Amino acid sequence: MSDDARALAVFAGAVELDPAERSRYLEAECAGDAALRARVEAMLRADAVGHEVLDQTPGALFADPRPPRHSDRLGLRVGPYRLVSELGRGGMGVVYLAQRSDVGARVAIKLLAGSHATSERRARFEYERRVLARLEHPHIARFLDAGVTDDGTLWLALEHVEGRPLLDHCDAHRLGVRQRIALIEEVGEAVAYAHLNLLVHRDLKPSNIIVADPGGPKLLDFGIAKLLAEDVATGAITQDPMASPMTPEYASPEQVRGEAITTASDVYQLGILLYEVLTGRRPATPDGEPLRPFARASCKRFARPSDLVATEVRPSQVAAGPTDRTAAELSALRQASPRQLRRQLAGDVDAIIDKAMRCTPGERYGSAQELVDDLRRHRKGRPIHARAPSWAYRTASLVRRHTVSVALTTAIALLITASALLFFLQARAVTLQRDRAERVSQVLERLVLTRGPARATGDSVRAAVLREVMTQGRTNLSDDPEGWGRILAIVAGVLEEEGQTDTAITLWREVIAAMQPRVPADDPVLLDMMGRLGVALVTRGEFDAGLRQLEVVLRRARALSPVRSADLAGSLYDAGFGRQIAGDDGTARRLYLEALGLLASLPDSGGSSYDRILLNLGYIADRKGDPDAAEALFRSALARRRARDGAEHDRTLNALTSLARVLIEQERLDEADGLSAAALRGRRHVSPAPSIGLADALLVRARYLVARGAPGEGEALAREALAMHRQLVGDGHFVVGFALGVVADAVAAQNRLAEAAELQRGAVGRYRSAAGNRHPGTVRALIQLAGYEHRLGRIAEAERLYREAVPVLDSIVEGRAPLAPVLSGLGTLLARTGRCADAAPYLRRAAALSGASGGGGKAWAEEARSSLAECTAGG
Amino acid sequence: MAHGPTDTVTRLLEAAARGDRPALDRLFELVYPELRRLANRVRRGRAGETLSATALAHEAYLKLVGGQPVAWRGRAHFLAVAARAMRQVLVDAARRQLARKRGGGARRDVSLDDGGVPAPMRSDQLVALDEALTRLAETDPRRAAVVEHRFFAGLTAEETAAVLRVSIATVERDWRTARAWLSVELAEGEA
Repeated sequence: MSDDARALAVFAGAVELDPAERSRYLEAECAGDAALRARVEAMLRADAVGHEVLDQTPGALFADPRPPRHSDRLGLRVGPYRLVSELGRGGMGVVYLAQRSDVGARVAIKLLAGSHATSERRARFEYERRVLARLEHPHIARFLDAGVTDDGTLWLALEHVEGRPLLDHCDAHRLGVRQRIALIEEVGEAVAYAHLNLLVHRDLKPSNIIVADPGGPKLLDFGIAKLLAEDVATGAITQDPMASPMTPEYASPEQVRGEAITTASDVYQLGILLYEVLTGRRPATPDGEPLRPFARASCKRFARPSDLVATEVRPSQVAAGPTDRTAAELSALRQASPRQLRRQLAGDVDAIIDKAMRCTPGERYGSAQELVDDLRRHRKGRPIHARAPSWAYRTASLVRRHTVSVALTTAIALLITASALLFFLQARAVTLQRDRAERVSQVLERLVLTRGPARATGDSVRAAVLREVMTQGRTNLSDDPEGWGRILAIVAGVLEEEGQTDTAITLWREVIAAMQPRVPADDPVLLDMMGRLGVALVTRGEFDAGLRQLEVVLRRARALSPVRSADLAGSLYDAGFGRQIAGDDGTARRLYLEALGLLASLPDSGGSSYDRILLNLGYIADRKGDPDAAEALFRSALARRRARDGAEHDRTLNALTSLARVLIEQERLDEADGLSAAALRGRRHVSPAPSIGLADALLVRARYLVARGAPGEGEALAREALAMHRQLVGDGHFVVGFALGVVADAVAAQNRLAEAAELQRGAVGRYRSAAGNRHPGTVRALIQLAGYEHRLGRIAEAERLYREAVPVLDSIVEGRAPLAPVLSGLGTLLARTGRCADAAPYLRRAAALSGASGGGGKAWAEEARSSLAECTAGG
Repeated sequence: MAHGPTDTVTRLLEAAARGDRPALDRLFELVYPELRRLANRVRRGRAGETLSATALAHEAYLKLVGGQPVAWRGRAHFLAVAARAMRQVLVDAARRQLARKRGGGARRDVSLDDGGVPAPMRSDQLVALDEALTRLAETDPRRAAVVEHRFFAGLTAEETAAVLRVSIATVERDWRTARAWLSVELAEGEA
């Protein structure tokens, strides 16, 4: 046995004995071994006095002085102040209420624990003190003075704020959600102000905010803030983050991970503040468990505030969180039921907190001020930015896409007018997004010009720049798909707006393929590109590819968590639009209705997106033979647009023409007269130059005149519109078919049937090649043509056309009223050529349908009945 | 059969020992509160300026999972390894502090006697203690383990007894004996 082992064993035996026994015991055990005996006796002496290290805890080593006996400090002089009473203590030290000896002013004095003033520290302290002295803000407790006590402890004198800590204040006054948000706005402004002064707080938490009454919230404890000054450029602080004090429950992910702390940490902590002030609980996991610091650091998702308030508080949360109240009690303290509270938080507030508390600092609000601005927008009912990154982007693109969609939807609505064209062409005419386009070209030009200016001047500079960027982008895309992908996405958007759809489609495909593997599936730019590509494919007639693309986008938008309502609504709209273009009205309607539900929860119901869907639903209703529903939808869209955009806005005028058109179809000509005239007047007034909008108004007015029995005047207007179309989109484009159809009807009404048939054949040809044989636009033109051929006595040709159109139309309108004229036409034709047995089913069905609907059905019913009668008489 | 938290820790420890990354992460979440609890006791509720409780727990965890694969044997074993990890973290921190002082040339250790409070301990004492404890472990592993658990990991006598599978009385006797031995050892070192 070694000496050490012996000593230990002998000591263990001796220590339990009383002194007399111990002496005998040692005598016996250490017989003749003086060294052993001396050792054991030294151990016994050590045991009696204890050990200065082992009787402490090791962490004490790292905090230089032992905590002072605070009671002893009372009455002590610190600078010109005398300590009166202890106000509280925290990680940073002890705070006293103190009084200035000379003038009696009351201040808060903070003695910083473990703050021995080495010379280095003094220098730093001196610096911080100067910065703190600069902070003058109504919501920051004012810094008054600082110094070092005789024993070398650093002290700060701060404004003494009388009031309650934030959470107590809110609950004591039972403040509602809006009032609570207003308080956090004030705190956020104080933080933003400090950031401007290069100061990060790092320890924002409810207990650091005292609400004075009056005076509002005051932020305490900027004393621990670290200066940003060293590394302003990168926005990062280069000090040892482990050394900085923090409160784990309120720490940002990067604080827990020990990474660089920036202003983004304060933004995160403001997010936690909001979360707790509004829900009464700290951020929790979706199943209601508290979100521990390390879970936060590893980017675990937290429950949306609105979801959390609807769940009961769990025991585990009570233990870790700040509350032991039930969900009902928490809501009552906010003047709401849990359901009401949930509704108040759902949407904006969820989105704002989500953006403030993103795990990656770069994804949060860019500054505390941006967060404050969004909170204010929310309180004032304006659209918030947290719905972006894509809110603005997507809404803008929704508007742009709508311009295409209205055109195409109209085109397939079995309507003779070409309201459609208006918007289709606008999209090509680069009238949109002037500021965005400018911004883009600035960026693009800078990009290109730094590599040598394009040798082009004037208008072609832009084109040259675009070309150059596209070339560069394509070359570098594989090296940096994310960076160049985003730039090329903009380029493709510009190309599409300029009408270079094919190039845009090719570019989108390339960029999407390059970006897919490198960015998250729900990356907003990626989704936006895929959506645009889908719509472009569909409008070009590539229905399968386009619809597939739109389905993928929709699936991803649905999977977003938390749901981004604006994005999802945009994707639903795109998918619905694609379906509508492709002729699947049922699915389109379902998707539109879902989008409307989402938009309804947004500020201003999602703005113009909402009315656009109303209009599209109106076209669907109209096409299905439900003019009443169509009218109601158009009227509601019109009212919204008048109120928001004014009477002469493009959007308002478009709703007006849509309404006029449905009234014409119902033969409510008196009402249609005023509306169609007003629409045309508005267009001519806004811009007399050829435009799709003007052409559209001309065609609607022309239809009215034809219906009113003035086909000559109608023809003139329709031909004016046709010329505009040809000029704007080129003669081959399928939208020219609209104008051709209206001209044809006007011509036919003047009994120039051969000429009318020729015109209508032109419409059929354009529709067929653009949209195929089963497209509603094709069918509509076929039917008109069949009517002319019939009247021209070209029976075989007319029959062939009718027989092609009837089954397609039947499936489109699901057997409703619009089928009547066609059934009647075919039946009459068959009856007059002696095929009564063949004719009878068509005629009976036509008569029944016509009876069921008002408006223009009567004439067809008449025709069908008389043909039927002839047949019966003849048979 | 329902798994209690201890079972879970044990299973995760085993999985982690096999190199299962998700198990390691999950383990972190489970042991983190435990580590923090230990760290809090060690630092005695004060915000030390070098080591916050979180930092301590964090570092201890890294020591735990970042080192050699360990064949885990349940919670007691975990606590034992955690105690070792805490010791390493603390001693490393002390060594860093010493290095900084030497590097900075500020030889003078702060010694403030504020209202009769004992002078602060010094990092070199902790380093010396660590070395002495290593010597003790060569002779008397059990008593050294008691010191490690009680002093470095902040476990109570009861917890230490449970981890080491001995009686509480034994833990207390061992503690007293080891403390006396270390005191003498350290005093000789300084002399």
